[in-house]
Amino acid sequence: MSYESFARLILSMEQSKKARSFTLIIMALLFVSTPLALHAQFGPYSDPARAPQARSQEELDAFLELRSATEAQEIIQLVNAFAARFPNSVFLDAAYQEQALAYQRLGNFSASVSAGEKSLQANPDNIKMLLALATIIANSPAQTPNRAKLLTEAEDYAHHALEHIETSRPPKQIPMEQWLRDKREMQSQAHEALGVLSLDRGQAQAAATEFEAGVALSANPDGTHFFRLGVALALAGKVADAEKNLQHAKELGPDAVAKLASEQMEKLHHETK
Amino acid sequence: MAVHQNSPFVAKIRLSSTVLSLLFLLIAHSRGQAIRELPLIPDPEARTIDYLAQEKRWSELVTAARELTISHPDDANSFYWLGTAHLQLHDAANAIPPLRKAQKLGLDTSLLHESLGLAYYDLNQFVLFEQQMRQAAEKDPKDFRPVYYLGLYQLTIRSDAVGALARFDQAIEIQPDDWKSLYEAGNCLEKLAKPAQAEIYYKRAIVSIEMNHQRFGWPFQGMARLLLEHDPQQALQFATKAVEAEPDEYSNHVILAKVYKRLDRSPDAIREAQTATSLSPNDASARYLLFLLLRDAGQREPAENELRVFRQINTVYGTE
Repeated sequence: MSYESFARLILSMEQSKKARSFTLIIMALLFVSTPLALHAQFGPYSDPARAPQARSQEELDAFLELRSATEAQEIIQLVNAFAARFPNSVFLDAAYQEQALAYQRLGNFSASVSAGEKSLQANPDNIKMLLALATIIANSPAQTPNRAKLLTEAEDYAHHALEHIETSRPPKQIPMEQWLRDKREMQSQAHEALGVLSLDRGQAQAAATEFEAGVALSANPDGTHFFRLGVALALAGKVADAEKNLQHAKELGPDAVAKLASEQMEKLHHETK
Repeated sequence: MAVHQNSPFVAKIRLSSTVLSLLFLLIAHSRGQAIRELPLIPDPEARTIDYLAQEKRWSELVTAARELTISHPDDANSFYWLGTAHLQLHDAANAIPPLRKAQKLGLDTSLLHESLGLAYYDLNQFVLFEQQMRQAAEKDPKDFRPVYYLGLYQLTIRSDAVGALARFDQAIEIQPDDWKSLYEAGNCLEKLAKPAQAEIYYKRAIVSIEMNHQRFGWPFQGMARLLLEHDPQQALQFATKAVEAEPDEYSNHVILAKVYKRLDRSPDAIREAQTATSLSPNDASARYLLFLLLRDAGQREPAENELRVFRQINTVYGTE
């Protein structure tokens, strides 16, 4: 099979079950992406002069309780109780953010999106939530109702996150190198989410461009980054580049990613023969 | 140019170190008091808590106090110590729940309110911080610390020098030789363009520091600032003492660099400015000072490099 015909084959696979499996692999890998360093209220980037203020000790007690909870079910219940008791709390966005992530852990996609939307309703500029929601939606099951609409929203979230990351100003206690590194990691995550969204729409080249940006921005791109990029490049018909990135993924691991990368490389070799 | 004491971020760091140094005094004072007030902890265990607090073994104190909260769930003191140990370990989020539990169990001392207030401050919860410090001041009107903390908050977070001055004066009334309150009152007056009055407070602070053999450089730095233009030789003595007292405080080196610059001692000025930028790499004013010094000394390439970093700082953090 010629190089060109292989590329066409790969591109046509986008509509096939194989393409779906590629996409599902990428989506599954997004779940293991590194959590963001940015905290909502009490993290290192919170600005003392503009910090949201609890109105009572009880409000802060309740918020700290939900923040310290570790079990997803418990977090969900505590957030519901918090929202019912303090409906005008300045911490609502952070509380719903915790709930969105808890639902995500439980695999409850619609509840996760719903909680994420509530969080953004309370604070449209919450970068962590914007990135998380973009990622959660990108991971949504194919049969999700209104998926096309959700994907458009996810794209908006990722773009809004990118804009907000660019204009954010950290407090001076944060070393510049740390901020620049964290900023680039957040940008990387936004591009990774945009890549998955592009791939889902069958835009392999656009996906590859986004994944390339994700790799370039990350201080330590891991096997997952290179695997996604490799798959997108393969779908875009750039076999040599795809192989190079899949080889990187294989070398960097972890094991599960290395195994997937090997499988994809074998498929590429098989198809090119 | 004023050293960036107005910056709430820099100020917060200052407050944290001040707060923690005072917190140990608070603990030293409270070791006996809190336990006496609520003598529910069995004696040997109380002695363990007392010993660990005295030795500043905070992680072990967390473990010991946590065990006590399990074995004596109605004992407010155990929760107080658990919260205090967490606070000492810079873990305000975990300090608050046990301190609140102590409060709910009936502990209502000035010390508890102070600890809670400091924990709230650490989480940028200033409304609650103010409430707790006010309660602490009401509980123990002879304790100057709550008023002092409130003053620092007004000065550093709210940039309210007038309001802060009133607090520091109140603290000085309670504790006339407290060098920190004296310095901060002088600092407020300096910000309010009353250098002659500021000088009086700085001198009083210096007398108190020297009598108590303390290492606290700020009043010396304040004096150096006041004397910089019209008496740089005397300013040099004060700026040098400030650096000797607190060599890790970058702003002391900034002032010393400015004094050297004023005295046309360019190499010394550059050295001090470089120390300042290494201690506080993100301080734009120190960077700009270093740029000027290097440029004036004809060191074009290093000067341009500092100017580049200065611009990058302003891009990343914004201009003040």
